[in-house]
Amino acid sequence: MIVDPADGNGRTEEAWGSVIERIRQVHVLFFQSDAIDEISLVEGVVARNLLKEVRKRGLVPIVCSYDVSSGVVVVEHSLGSLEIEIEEEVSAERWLAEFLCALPNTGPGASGIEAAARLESR
Amino acid sequence: MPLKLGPAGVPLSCKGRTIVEGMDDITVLGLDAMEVQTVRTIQPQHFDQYWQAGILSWKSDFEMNMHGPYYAELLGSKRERNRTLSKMETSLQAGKIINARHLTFHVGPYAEYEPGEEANEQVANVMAGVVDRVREVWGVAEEEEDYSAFPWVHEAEPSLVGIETSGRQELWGTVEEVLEVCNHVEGTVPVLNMGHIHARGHGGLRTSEDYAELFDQARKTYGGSTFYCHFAGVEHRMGNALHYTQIKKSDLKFEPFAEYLAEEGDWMDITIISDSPLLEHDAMYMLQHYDKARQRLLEIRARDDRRAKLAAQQGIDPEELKRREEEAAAARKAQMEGEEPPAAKPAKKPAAKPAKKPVAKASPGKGKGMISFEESADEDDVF
Repeated sequence: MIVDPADGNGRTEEAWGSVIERIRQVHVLFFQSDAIDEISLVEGVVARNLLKEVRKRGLVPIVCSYDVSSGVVVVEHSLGSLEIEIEEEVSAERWLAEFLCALPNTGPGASGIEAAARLESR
Repeated sequence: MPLKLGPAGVPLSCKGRTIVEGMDDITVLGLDAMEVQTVRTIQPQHFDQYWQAGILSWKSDFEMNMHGPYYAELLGSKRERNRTLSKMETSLQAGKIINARHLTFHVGPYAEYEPGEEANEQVANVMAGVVDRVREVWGVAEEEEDYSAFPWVHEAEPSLVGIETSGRQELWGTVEEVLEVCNHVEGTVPVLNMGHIHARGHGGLRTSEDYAELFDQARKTYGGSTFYCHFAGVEHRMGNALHYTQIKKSDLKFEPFAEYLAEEGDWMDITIISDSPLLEHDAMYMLQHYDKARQRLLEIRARDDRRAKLAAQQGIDPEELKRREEEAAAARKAQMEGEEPPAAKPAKKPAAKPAKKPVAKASPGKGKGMISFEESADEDDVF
């Protein structure tokens, strides 16, 4: 599931509510970097802790985000968390697509998730 | 025993997206409960939908429930607690409109409290306030005109406030803590999330005896017979839940629970909600296992009754008759497999092995009109 900032005033809370309704059924939750601040406000948590909190409270196996401008990828998963920098410039959708494609091959372990996040299997 | 089963949300297979459409689908699947997930704000369009769902549940025998916010910090600072309470308030309001029988709430991290009496007292105080607020929101039957749209306000009891067990060590909500608070606060009910209890107990729920122990503990501490449970597969490590999985992929099995409910659950009024990633599929899986367990139990009882009657007619001990029947069954089986009849074998050996076989054969198997779930590993499964 991809969390994108909602268009229009005051709809973020409603949109995030729709995600929460299905939180137990979500396996990979991806936040656009500009959605993090808005949702942190809704949830009342510090922005840098949002992914961790969502993972912990929602028990979502993988919660991730990719900031295109800095190239920083943050992945919170069942076995830990990682924050890495991608040297190559790719769009957020492209990173997510490649991450998802790589996961079945790299495996669900911590090193597998890291390899997939680094786009090593390209 | 009143047992209600259903998914936590609109079924994944439901083509519609509204709660009422979800209820229709759930009813078609043979289930009879639903838990609506957290709401943030009640928009006018939501109100309409919730009210329709409430009316439908009131007119039918369908149980509606509501899950409060996943982010709860009731043991946090005053600011954090108030923020959680304001989110809970929305759930309370929606719970009334939807005719929710249970409102489920998390407590959240221990924060600055140590696990123990002080934390439990704080939770009990907050929950007592929540129960009062539920009753206040529910309204009074005397104000007839105000509540004519909500017939359940006149005839049904206000929603019960459920306190859910947690699946991580840093969160308030062991079974003991939940039962203790529920015992002290009238109007609350323990929400036993089996996945969480299993994870926190390092995989402790394995046999029907484990469930018996859990509910005995609940009966002794809490005293009530109304239970609200969540069930889903869970991945866990070091006493912490990592994430939910489908039941078949987890070491938390439903069969022992079904066995316990069928054999010893007569005293309970229980609702089981599937919050597995395979929502309604796993809810039906549970229903099927419960039906199987009940049928197996009925068959065993019928066979014991018949044996007791036959033994009385023949003037022998029922145990002796049982041994003879087992020998005969073993002989029949050996004959069908083209082996030597077990008459030549020692009397005790064949009796031990086939004893279980007829039960398994007699159980309602595939092809008897029931939907069946393959037990073999499903490689294509994304979960």
